[in-house]
Amino acid sequence: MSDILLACNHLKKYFPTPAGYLHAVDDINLTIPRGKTLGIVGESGCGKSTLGRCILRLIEPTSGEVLFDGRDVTKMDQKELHKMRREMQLIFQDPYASLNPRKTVFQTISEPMRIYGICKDKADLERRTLELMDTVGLSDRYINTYPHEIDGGRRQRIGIARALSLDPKFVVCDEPVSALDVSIQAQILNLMMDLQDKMGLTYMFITHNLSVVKHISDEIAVLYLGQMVERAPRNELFSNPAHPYTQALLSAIPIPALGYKDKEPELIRGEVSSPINPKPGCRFAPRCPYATKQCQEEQPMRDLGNGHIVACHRCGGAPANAGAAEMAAG
Amino acid sequence: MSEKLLEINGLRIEYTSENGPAKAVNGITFSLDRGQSMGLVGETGAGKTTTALSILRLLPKYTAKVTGGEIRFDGRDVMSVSEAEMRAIRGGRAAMIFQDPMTSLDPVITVRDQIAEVLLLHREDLDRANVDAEVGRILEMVGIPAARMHEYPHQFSGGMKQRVMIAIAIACNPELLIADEPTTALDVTIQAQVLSMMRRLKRELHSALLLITHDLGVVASICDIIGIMYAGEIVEFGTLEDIFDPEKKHHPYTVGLFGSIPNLTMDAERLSPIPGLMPDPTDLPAGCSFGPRCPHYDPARCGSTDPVGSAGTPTEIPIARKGQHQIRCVLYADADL
Repeated sequence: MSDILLACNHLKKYFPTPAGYLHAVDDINLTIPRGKTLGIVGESGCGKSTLGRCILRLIEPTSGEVLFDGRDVTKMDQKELHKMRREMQLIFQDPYASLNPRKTVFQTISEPMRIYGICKDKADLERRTLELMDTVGLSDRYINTYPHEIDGGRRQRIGIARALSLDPKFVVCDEPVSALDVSIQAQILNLMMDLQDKMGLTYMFITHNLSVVKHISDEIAVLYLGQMVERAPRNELFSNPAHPYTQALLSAIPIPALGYKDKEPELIRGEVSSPINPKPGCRFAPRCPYATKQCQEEQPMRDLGNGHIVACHRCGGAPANAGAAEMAAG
Repeated sequence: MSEKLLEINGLRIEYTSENGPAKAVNGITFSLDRGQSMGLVGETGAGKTTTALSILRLLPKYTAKVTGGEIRFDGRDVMSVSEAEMRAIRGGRAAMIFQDPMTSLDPVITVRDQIAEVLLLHREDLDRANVDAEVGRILEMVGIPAARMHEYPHQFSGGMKQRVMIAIAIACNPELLIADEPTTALDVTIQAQVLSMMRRLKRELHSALLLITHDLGVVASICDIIGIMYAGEIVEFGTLEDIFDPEKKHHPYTVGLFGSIPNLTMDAERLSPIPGLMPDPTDLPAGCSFGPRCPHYDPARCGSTDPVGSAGTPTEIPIARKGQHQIRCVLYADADL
């Protein structure tokens, strides 16, 4: 059994639009070791959610492969995929929209177990549902309530219980705490970290919130307009951000401490350009303070050592081996 | 001209609801000087937006009721001025930036017309022929090329729509600018651009700013004074230094809020969240409303956590004061701060 649970190789998703192809996910290579958390950060429209959904094959990737435990998810037929889905689950962003308002907590959490027929009778199903509710810290008096009777934090716990009901190995968490207040957000983050320890889960944690991603991730990938611009272990990324976009992103976070009043952060100019038929070369170049002519032609991947990879020719380092993910997965 | 621009004294606001009156704001008091910027921080349901709306008399007419206290804008009692006078203040001398730029702009009216509307209503000195020039000048101030004034909101990105909202609010050089979560809907790099612009406008226009947010980072980058709100009360108030200095004494809720944010500069293995949930505003506890979630809760001093009966008098929680710093908690006396 290899250490790598999930690997993406040259994963692409292009959406056809009247104006041309929208490059939502463009040639992403990544690996996630068993039991670890990979954080995916980026701003709206950078392709983070599309990436998560392509990996679970909730949307069909345009090309590339997704290796889960060494098997290519993109080539599975419906039957194999159905079996595989037990092991890969998703926690959604919006605890208000992702629960069926006409189903009780019991029905919502037990539905995956009914579909997969893993409980022998109703009593077993109920026992297992109560166990799951206990695991995520939901009191059993909620078992027959409907989502509208419950607050956001508890609803998110229902979503987590549902995702865990089939004992998955891998969970994609798509902005699971963004809709919650900070005090509730902290409760849910602690819960997710405890569950990871207890059940040996592997997470892909998608968020736009940099302090949350630093808190929960082992490794972090930064996305910009469908491409991965930097990937590094979390402390390395926060102490030595190499890509100009990562640097700008980090300096833009308002710090809740004294000494930052009326301080101007390094701003990046303009806004994200269109992901439809993007020009070759570095997609950040039009906003980058260091852009040169070379940036419009190529965007080399550099390996800075210690697992730190950056898509910028300014950063030195050795050329990164694009096939690293394939080797690890093989 | 008085130094104090906005004074709020013992303000109480209730909404009618199926389960009886929902007590959204429960006796808050603060004042804001000219040119000063204040942050009102709290979580969903703390009563921040209700407070802001009441200053401009924008509360829903039939469901919300001010049940006590007073609001003074430049010495005048906002609650008793006529609707005509209120219209002159609202949008002119005091303006509001709303949270969601996607839904607060009219989608079928050009940006030029939306800004011009404010100018025509409030700037009587302005010649109609000069409206376009003035709209252009205001747009340039918020970093939008004047040439784009004839476009519609959908042609702008989220960050630019928020700039249009800000342009509408500052069109008449308001003395008071109320910003309700102005950057919450924006990405972090765009948030940084908007905050930087707001700091610049504050310097150039000398407006007082009341910033409503749940983000302590945003507050730390722009505010002079801060009120921390919980369940309709200001539980702690002070200067930026009073609130953010970890060496000073703080309300247990303030401590909980800071413990809940993942820290970028330090490595904490676990967050220390506040257990439980905000109380139901129709069913507030009789004593300290934070009592049921507080690690220092003591029924003998903090009052009962049973709900207040409609006739019951809530236990008065003392307020400790030192300079501007105030904490509403039985843990501290004045001398402790």
